[in-house]
Amino acid sequence: MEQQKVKVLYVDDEVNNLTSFRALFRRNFEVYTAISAEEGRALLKEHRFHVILTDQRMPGTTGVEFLESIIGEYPDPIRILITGYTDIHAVIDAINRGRVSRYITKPWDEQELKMTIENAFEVYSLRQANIELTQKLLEANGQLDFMLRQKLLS
Amino acid sequence: MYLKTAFLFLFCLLRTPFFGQVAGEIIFSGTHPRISVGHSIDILEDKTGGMSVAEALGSGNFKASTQIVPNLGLSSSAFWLKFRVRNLSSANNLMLMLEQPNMDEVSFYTIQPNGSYNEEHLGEYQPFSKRIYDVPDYLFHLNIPVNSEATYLLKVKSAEQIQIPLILGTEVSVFNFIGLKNMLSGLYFGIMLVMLLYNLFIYFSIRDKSYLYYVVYIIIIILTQTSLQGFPFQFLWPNIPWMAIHGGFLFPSLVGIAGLAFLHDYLHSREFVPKLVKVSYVFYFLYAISMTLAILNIFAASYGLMEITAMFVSMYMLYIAIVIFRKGYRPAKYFLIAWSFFLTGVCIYILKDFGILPYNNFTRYSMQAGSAFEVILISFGLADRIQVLKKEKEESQAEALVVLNENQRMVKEQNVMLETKVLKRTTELQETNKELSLTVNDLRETQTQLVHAEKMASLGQLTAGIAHEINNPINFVKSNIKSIGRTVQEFKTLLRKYAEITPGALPDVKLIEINTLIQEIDLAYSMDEVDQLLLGVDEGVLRTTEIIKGLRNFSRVGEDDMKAADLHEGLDSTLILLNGQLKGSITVQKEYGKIGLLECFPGRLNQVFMNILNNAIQAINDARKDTSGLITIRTCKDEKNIYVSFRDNGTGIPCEIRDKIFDPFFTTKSVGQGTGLGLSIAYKIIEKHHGNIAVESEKGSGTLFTLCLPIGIADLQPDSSGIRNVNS
Repeated sequence: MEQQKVKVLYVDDEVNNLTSFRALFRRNFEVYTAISAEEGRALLKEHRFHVILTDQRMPGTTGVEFLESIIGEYPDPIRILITGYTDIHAVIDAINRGRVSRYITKPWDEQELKMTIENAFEVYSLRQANIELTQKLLEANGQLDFMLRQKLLS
Repeated sequence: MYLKTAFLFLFCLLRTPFFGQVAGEIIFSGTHPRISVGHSIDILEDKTGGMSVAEALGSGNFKASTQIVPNLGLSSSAFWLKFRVRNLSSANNLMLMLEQPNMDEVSFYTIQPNGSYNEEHLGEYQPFSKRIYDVPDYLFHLNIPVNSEATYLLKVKSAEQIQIPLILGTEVSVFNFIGLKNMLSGLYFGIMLVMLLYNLFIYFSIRDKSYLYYVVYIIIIILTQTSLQGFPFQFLWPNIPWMAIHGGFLFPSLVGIAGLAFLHDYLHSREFVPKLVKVSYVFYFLYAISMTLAILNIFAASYGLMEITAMFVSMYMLYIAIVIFRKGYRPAKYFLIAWSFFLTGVCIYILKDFGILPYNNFTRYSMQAGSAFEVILISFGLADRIQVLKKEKEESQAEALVVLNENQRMVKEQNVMLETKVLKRTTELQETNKELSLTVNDLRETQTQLVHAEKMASLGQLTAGIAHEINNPINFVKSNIKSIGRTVQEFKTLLRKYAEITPGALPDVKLIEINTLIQEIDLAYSMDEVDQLLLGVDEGVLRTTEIIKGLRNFSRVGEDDMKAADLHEGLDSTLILLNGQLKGSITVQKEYGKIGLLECFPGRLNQVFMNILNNAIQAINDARKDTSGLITIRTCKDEKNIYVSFRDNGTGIPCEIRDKIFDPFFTTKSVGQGTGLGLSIAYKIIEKHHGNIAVESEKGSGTLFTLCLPIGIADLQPDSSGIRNVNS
């Protein structure tokens, strides 16, 4: 499997955070940022992201609400919540409603965040590979089936 | 008295009077100046009462008397008494005395030797004024000269018992005798009168009905006894022969009735022998019949009935007295003794009449003496009653005293008990008091703790907001620095490449190398990025500083004293702290007026602002999910007050709880979300500023809190220590 650049979407209402995030990870990942949930949704329509990170506290739509809203349409990306303050309700909501895989607190640790994103991508990749392999297996199976039938006919 | 007749009646039944041989001659020798001659006369019964003197004289049916006092019994016949008197004494003024005043009819005939006669008519049928002598007895002059003799006839008739006590004597001795009799009667009468008055006075003084009964009883006894002597006829009704005749029948009955009434009252028979008392009604009835008969002039029947009744009454009274005496009632003893005296007197009197006892002054007056003794003794008894009453009174007094003492003792005991109880209660109360003080202390401590907890809760809430607010800038400052560092490294590498270019070297090769590196590090982007990152750092630091400043401003550490402060500054600081919660969803509109500085406790007021704004934010968050939340803060001022109002468009407060929102521990938030102390503390703080909080709210459309803070409360309240008590 050739090395693919990880496509990451980060949603935060704080523009400085977006800038920082991009500055930190633009060398490692393909970073897209959105200032609000709406902008994020717009980006989702254009790109196929592997990992989606979002801030919890945002005006209008909260992070969890955003994640919850996109699950139906985009179930594959791995979802990560980043928040400035650990509120147990937000955590519970994030797990139950937003189905996040990780919960990161601000201020974030660069290495940890990087590893988290990489691990998330790995999971994503494995899942995709699994799907592809299954597909291939089904195809192979179909070909074999076809060939077997040919042989039996001949 | 009537009893006498009753007994005589008994004697008569036992001993029918007999009449002996003719005696008829009385010899007056003068040895005794006065002699009884009853046994020396002849008696003739004239059944019709219609015999003439001649017929009587000529009758051969005379019989000699055998008794000193001839007792002819109860008879409607007239009796002729014939006797001859021979005067052998030296006195020629002999007198005959019939010592029986109750004769209806007494006729005295002096028979002359030639057969002619003088007659004298006396008796109760005649008015008293017809008598020659003013004495109740009948007196006749015999007119016998010395040493001569004369024959006399005496005709007597009476409805009552007929007894003939005849006395013959000289005029002097007879009058002496009458004098003696009067004296004795007077003595008796005197005794009775004294007793009467004595008891009457006692009645007046002690108002005991017994005495009145007794007085009535005595009056009737006096009348009855003196009737026997003929005194009432002489003194009370000398011109009413009817009374003289009927008195002998009426008085004994009255005595019986009065006696019975007195007995019952005196001996309390109604209490001791209530059944026996009823018998006396029969006696009353019989007496009444007897009196009625007497009034109807049916004398014999009246007399007989009266006598029989009297006999039974006397026994009845004796019996009752004995029965009650046996029951231990003291007055009964007196009554028994008195009654015995009287009965003894009566007996002696009768025995005298029958000649068993000699006829003398003692025997003649034994009945009166008995009666007097009776009256005196009963008076003693009555006097003793006073004693008894006194004793009873003393006993009851002693009893009352005992009861009183007992009561006093009980009261004392109860007092002691009460005192003990009071002491116990007091101790209990003191203990309760102590416990209450402890409880109060505990409560105070709890209050302090609660206030502290509220503070902590507010702080927690605050921290949640602030953490987010601070963590964001720290986050991007931190990561920006890292990014800047990395970019600087890249720039350094690039600069080193440039540094390797020396005037002697081949620049093209180097330049290509440099260009490759520039491409690699995307120099244009990086340089732009660095600017942005530095701006971010700058903003981050600025925001952090702002927040810290706001925090410090809000808490006003070390500013518990009253000082002039700008409320706008406090409001802004509070808003900064709440920024995290406001951001995006709620617009804050400030309409600050020119209010200048206010003497206040700025830190405390910020706490009030915080509480009200926090509630407003929560109310808005509860009411709307979009970004239409609006909080308007307005300040203005008049001469006296500064007004700060907070209007939100949140849920509003339902009117049923509007009165409770300032109550401690009242909260609409779920457990753990709020202490319920925020507004109560806010209220206290505003109160300490001598201001007030007004609330206007409509459910669904929002709430308006208006704080009214008087200007110049520093003058009003120089001592600010009270504030500390609220929140410290």
